[in-house]
Amino acid sequence: MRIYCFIAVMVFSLFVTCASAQAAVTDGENCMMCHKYPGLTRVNDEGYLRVFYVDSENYAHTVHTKVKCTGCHVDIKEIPHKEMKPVDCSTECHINNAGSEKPFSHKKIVETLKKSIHNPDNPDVRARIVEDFPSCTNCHKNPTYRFDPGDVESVDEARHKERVLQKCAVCHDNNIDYKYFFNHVTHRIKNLAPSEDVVKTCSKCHSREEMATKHKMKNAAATYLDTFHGKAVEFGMPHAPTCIDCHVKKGDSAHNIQSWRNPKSATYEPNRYKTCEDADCHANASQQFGMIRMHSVIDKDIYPIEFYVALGFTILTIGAFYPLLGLMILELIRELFPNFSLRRKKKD
Amino acid sequence: MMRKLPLIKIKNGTKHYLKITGNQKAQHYILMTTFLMLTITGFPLKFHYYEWAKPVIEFFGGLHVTRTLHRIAGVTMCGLFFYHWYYLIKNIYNYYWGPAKRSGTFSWGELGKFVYYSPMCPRAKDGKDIADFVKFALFISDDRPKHERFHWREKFDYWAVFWGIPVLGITGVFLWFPVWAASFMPGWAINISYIAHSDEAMLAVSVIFIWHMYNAHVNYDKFPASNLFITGYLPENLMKHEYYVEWARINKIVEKDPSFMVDVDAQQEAQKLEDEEKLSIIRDQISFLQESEKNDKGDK
Amino acid sequence: MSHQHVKVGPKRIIYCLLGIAIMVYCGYIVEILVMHIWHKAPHAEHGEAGLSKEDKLYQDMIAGVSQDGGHGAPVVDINSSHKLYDFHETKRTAIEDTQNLCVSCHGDVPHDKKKEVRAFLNMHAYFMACETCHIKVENTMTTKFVWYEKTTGEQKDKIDLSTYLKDTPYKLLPLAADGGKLYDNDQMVKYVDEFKSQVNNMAPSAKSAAMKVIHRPMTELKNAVNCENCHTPDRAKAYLPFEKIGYPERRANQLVGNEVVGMVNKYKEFYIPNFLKPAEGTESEN
Repeated sequence: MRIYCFIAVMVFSLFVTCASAQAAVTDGENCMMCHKYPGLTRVNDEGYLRVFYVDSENYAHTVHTKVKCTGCHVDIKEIPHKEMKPVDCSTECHINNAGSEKPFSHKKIVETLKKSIHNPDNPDVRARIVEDFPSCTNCHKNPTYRFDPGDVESVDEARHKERVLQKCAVCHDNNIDYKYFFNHVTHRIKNLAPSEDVVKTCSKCHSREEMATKHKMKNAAATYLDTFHGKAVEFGMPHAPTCIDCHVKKGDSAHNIQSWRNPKSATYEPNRYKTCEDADCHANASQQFGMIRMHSVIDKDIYPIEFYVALGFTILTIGAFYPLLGLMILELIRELFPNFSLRRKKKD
Repeated sequence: MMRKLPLIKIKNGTKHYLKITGNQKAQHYILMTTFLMLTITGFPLKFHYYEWAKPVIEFFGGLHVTRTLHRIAGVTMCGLFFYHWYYLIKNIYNYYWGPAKRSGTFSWGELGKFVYYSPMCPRAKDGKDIADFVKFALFISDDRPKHERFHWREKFDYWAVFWGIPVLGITGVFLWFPVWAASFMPGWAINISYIAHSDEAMLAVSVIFIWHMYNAHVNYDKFPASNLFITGYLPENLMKHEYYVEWARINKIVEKDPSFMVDVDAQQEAQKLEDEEKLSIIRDQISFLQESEKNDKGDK
Repeated sequence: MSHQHVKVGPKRIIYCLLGIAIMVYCGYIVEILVMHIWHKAPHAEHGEAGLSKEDKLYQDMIAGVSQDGGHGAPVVDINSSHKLYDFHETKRTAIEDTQNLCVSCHGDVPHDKKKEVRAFLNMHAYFMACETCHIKVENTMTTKFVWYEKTTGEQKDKIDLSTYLKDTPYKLLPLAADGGKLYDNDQMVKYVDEFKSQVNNMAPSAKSAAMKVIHRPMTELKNAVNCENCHTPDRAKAYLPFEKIGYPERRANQLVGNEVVGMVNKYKEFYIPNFLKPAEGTESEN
């Protein structure tokens, strides 16, 4: 009897541990009392659906799992909530910067972004339409950790994930943070987002024809997808080159993209080939190699050579094929009336 | 020297006229398979935005595979192109240059004529044939033009490929090795290569899949399909109907030298007789021996 | 060469006509394929796989609003609407209700009037039929509550309520004790169908008369169900019979617990003094 009791207690405590592990979401404010309901939605005046539902299980595996709701949604002070401003990522949130005791913030990245072409005040910007420029959340969602400790097992079966974490626990006893830092570091180490996701992110704006027209640009996404780079991404080739691979200097931040007219830019014409000649890409590229157009459009004013070559081939194709097609159709009509003749009438 | 092929084969009571030789058939086979392979691996890339593109690429096992297949097929096709040049020069040597030099009757004028009257060379007659065909198609005349061994449609196909392979081959190599290409050409040349490669391919595919398929394989007289590219021979009714001049030429040769005609039917008939004879001897022998065995038993 | 008369049989006619048709079609296909580099616009659209679809739906929805304009709120589809922000990547399955008559006009996200509470109300509309709150039954003996499946309409007395109603496919619906409909009986369904098919040709006065008929059950009842009717500290007095419809003790207690009730009171005080009371004029439109 006693042994059964013991087992029951063990099982119970196991359940409690699991349950408490799952409930590790930072929700001291009990926001989830309401926000756990998927139906917490409304349609705003412009017709957009606003979803206020937060999937806590998903949130627990995201990079912001340690940040409590009011860490980002700073102006929520009371219930019912007042109308609030969009979240500002340069806010200092309530977690501490590891290594220093300063509160953490994405301010540095926001400042980098402000110096890049993605800021209306950049001198290379052609149309300063402020609302068209991206803020953090236009490109970033709350990503889940890319590296799951469970992956460790697939690397080496002998390394059970518990044992890996145990090694951390040798020093960081009773400190739940080592799991968080393990996730954090492995997330950064693991390869960046898949190519198609990068393209999709940039495509949110750069594939829009009306946006391109407004800003006097080309449809960057469509022209890119017409290149072999874009097709490789489209057909799922691993490590296919994305927007970032060419537009971000090696080792630089993707937030620091500059206009091709800026000499510091990865795509500055005289230096463009240096971006191409990465060892994994086109080693030994020449200066002219960098001049191969990657966002080519058939346009008489921008690229006359391409335009006339395309025109020539189109005329050749149409000029060769359609007369032949006409002859075939004429022959079929002739086959339909084999006995009819205009000449016979003359003879009569 | 060349193997002597019968110009006419009689099979099932009809005469079949020689149209293309074994070597030419082989060239056609290679051209056909590489062309189909290039199309099926290249078109999903050119038309990547259609829904069928991805499944096709995935069917082959991804972009790495189709890329390799495309290059293998492309190199093979270019190889065929060079072989064809060798084939043409060899024929000039074997049929004119060599014999004429040896007999001391060589003249450049006659070489020109030899080339001009070779089966695939476009001639003034082809222009006239096209005009005659248009007249026929517009009900102005009642007769189709009388063609030689290869009529103007076939010559069009031939020269389209003759022009297409260098264009596609050279631009293809540029696209394959862009770093090398950009080392001696401006960057835009690679952009142009891309346009030329894909547009020329589009022209080739539309002409081959529609014009060539229709003329050579499914037109009314040949419907549902011509097996010329397998057998190399055309039945007499088609030959006379479509290649009257060639039909007349072959008949004339055969009249002079009947050894150019092989009567397959007669051969088969002879074989049949021979077989029957052999079988009857064996059967007679068996029945005779059986009979004699029976008689032996009766005696006992 | 003399000309024999060629017999034109059906085979030849079919061959030729079919051939001509195929040729013309081939010409059309080749035209599309050859000319594609000259058509920038349609080619450009495909790049944004996920987005263009959403954008399109958004466009459709906006178009729907202006079309509907005159008669009632737009049908808002909970899944296909364009989400403005989706930072938290809410992966809901959000099954759309195909059974409820109100939803067929008002959509799955029906509440849009009272700014501060509309999201709350929509949250409830996710697992409660409109009738549950908008038709208050006085005598609880003559009615019962059932859960119906949003797509099939299959009814159940109890569903698993051991945890909160997350992505549930069920909605709570009041019925007469014998299982009869309180609102969307056959007659009403027929009337609404007729109204929907003719609404664009109706005179404004006829339209508002018809709308009145359709919404009478809601406007006639002065007493709709309020938040505190269910979220009441005194569980015995709660409008909804929590045990009967399947709530375990623990969950039922949470629904009437201090946190929920306290919040409801806060809202009531500040934002919903006239909660659910039909407003003059405009309300009948909605």
